[in-house]
Amino acid sequence: MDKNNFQVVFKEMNNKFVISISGFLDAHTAPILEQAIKEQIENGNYNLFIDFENLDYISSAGFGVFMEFIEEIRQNGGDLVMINMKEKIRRLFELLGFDILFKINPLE
Amino acid sequence: MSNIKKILEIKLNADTKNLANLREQIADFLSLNGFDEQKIMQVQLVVDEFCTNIIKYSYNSDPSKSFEITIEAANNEVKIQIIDDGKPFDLTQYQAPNISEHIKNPHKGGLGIPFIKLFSHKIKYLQLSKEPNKNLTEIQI
Repeated sequence: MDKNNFQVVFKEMNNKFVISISGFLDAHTAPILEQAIKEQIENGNYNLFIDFENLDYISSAGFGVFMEFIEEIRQNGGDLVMINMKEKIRRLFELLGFDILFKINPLE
Repeated sequence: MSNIKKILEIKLNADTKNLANLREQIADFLSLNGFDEQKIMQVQLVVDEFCTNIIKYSYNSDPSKSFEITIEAANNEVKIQIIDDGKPFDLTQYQAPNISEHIKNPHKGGLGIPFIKLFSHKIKYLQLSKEPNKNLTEIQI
């Protein structure tokens, strides 16, 4: 995989909007995710699932994208739900305390 | 005597596209030195956050500028030394809101330094020279 690789794939399933992210989410690639979430909000889609299955790394710039939108999304009756998060990324969320703010792997 | 390198030296141009390669070199180096996945990720994160700050705020993302990073593996500790000639920035004096404040009041930005402080045992800053600037930051993880 290209070391700078970060991809966003969007799927709609039964009125649920899933943004699958893969690769490395850092200061260089975070604007791609920011744009993707912004587009969903502009289309009035506030029930968003972020699929972490193929994400290998996240820095503060990546967390910053979720922090940027979470209040606006919840104020509009929606949520940002993190799904399929790998153990090492989940541990980081927990260590930083972000598991309090975000719903993570709710189906486990 | 093991011939595994204990010191990794990298010169980085001030462009965030170089962060991925930097993190990969750190992972390879620390893994050879026997560090576990969690420690490797913490070191990657701290170096990534500090370098992102230098790239964006000390060098205004000017890729013609560069700075030096040295990573030393010793027992269970990792020592990071960064020397740059950008705007002076003393990480030890910077009062960043802690992460719980960000959680209470979510907003974009400002998380990098709290991340660095959370994972670091010791941070030192020294301004080696003024005009031209030369800054040394040492972080132990």
